[in-house]
Amino acid sequence: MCDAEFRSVVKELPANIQDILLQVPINVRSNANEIRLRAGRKICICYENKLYFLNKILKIEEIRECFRSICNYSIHSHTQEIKQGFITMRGGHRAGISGTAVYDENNNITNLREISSINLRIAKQIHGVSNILIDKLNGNVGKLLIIGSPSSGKTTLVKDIIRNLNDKVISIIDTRGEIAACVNGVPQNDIGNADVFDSWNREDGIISAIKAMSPEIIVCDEIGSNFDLQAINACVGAGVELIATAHGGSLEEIVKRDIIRKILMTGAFDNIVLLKGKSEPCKIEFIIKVSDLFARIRSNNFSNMSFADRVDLFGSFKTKSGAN
Amino acid sequence: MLIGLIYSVALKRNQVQINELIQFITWLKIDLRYNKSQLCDMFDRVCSSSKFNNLNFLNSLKGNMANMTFPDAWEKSIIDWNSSISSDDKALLKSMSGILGASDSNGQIMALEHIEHRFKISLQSAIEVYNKKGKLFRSLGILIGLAVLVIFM
Repeated sequence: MCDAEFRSVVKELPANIQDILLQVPINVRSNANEIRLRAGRKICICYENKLYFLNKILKIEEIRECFRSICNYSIHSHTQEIKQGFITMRGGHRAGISGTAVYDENNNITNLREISSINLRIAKQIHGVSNILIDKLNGNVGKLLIIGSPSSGKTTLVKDIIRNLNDKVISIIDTRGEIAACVNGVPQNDIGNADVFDSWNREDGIISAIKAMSPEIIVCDEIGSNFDLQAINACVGAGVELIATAHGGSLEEIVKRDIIRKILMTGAFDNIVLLKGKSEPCKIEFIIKVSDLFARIRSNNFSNMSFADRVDLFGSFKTKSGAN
Repeated sequence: MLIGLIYSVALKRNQVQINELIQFITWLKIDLRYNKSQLCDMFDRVCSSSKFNNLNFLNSLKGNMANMTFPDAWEKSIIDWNSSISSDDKALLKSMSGILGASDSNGQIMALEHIEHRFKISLQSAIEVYNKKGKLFRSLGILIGLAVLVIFM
């Protein structure tokens, strides 16, 4: 059993918390997905859909110290991330933070204070996890949108797709530093020969990548804003293929989002992959062609589609009853 | 003669170190404003360059940061620093442990400007002290040296 990823997360915490966490049994450490630190409550480790509680109750000062330590005692380097509620750590791990929001006079979040909970999500690199997907798409993985709920393995899948496309010129717009996880400009994750636009916002990163790196494929994470739409349009206009992820638990959820519908209408994506979810990370629920999705919407057939409906590859619909 | 010279050199060294501290704070402010680098990267760059050769605490800081939290590492480096600056200036420098990396860039820059201003006042008085006492120590040293020489002759 290997707990290297667990150790690399724990290493970012203050020494006293490190000592406590490294006493956790090896089977828990090796299979851990998340470490949850909450003020006034016990440390909790999520592993294999189970919870492991440690006897240590964290004080608010200890949470604050953990927060500073995760920021490498450099809060100024993470202000944009803090506003969004997370910090990307060395090794591509991610610390979600919750606390009291501080708003400016224009109602924009400027900071989070009184951090009360930290959720350390342990990033994993699973080699070969995208092989099935690439086979099903006959290698045509450009123009792909991967949809899944949080912790469903979207980023893990994207990382493996990038590794599998080593013969292509790829630019990664790593907004949150989760894909390449660059430290001092050096990717911590195996991302093949891809060029990394680290910490850029997607809009600027996509446009800059097109101009600067002449990529065949651009990869970015968690699209879904109006700004993304403009950048994706630029991508389509430049003939660059796009592989992206978006949050969503089902196709219904996705098509209900106005901005996602608009993004799909740009023609940037040929195929949509829906992942099963947190219980089965990186596992494919189904793949659907965007054209088939629109046909389904146009024929008003979409509203009848339940979550249990299965759509086979390239648009042959299978329902619960088995009718095509 | 030697004692007078040593005192005079110590006064000059105090002046040089405060001056370098002011330059260091200016450099920190620029880096915070434009690069927003992490503290460890900032200090790595400082240590690997030939800048601030008189601020030896920066070298021990790098080592201390590997084993302890940044505020503790900073304070230990300042305490261990064999410098010519006054205890007040040392305390001021030590107080930067609670400023660096503890807020956004603007907050840190504002706090650093306050510290820079205090060091500039210290530098002014160090220059005055050197101008007044430096020459005096050297002259006294020479006189005492000569007196001792005369006695022994």
